[in-house]
Amino acid sequence: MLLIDTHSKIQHDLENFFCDMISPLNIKYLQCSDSWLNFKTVFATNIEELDTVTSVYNIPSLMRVLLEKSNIINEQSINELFTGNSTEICFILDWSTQKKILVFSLDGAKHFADMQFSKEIILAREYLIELFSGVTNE
Amino acid sequence: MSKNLFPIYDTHNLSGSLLVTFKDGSADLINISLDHLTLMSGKRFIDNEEVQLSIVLGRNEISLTGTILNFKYIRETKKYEYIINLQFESNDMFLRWFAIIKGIHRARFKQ
Repeated sequence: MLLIDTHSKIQHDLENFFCDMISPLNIKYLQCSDSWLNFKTVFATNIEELDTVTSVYNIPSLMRVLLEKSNIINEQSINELFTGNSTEICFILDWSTQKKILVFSLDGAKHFADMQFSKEIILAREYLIELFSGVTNE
Repeated sequence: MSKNLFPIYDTHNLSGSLLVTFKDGSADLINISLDHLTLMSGKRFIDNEEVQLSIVLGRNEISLTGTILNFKYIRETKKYEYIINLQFESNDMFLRWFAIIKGIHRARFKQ
């Protein structure tokens, strides 16, 4: 369980960092908790989501990334499958050692255009890795 | 990212409700994943060959298309073990397969 002080500090830092890009900020940080791709939410701006565990199949934005990598269906089919489901952006912080992802919910938020927002997150990669470096799913 | 992007589930506990037809013959399914599966058959095929599969799991019947990634001969069973990468041309068939895989996952982890 994340300490309240740590949670508050991360939330404050994130809101400062992203204030010009998206408002309100709705973000989850998930770590893979086993070899079956079940992910535990170890940080969430919505505190009720903390410590929940969800399978890879129930994270649409991550599924989209994995399907694009896997080549089991073509790009057009993927676009059709996820039509109307673009209110979430998944950013993979680490996949090779321990699988760690950030999920931004764009639902009801004012934000940069999707592509611009994605570019900004990529530029912030090192900052985000550092910010979440001490957060574990223990 | 590497291949084997999705979890792999062994099918021992499904054997009673599972029927696999592979190249007009029956086959034993060893494990399944969203993007590939492993099965055992007495028939000999070659790498990269495209194959059609039919899987009946309980009341669900699904036709799959895949490509043989590699194979090995298992001396004890005198059968060939094939790893088959799956491809889906239609979203309907993919969504049916996805539902099966998701159901197996949920049955084991309640998630």
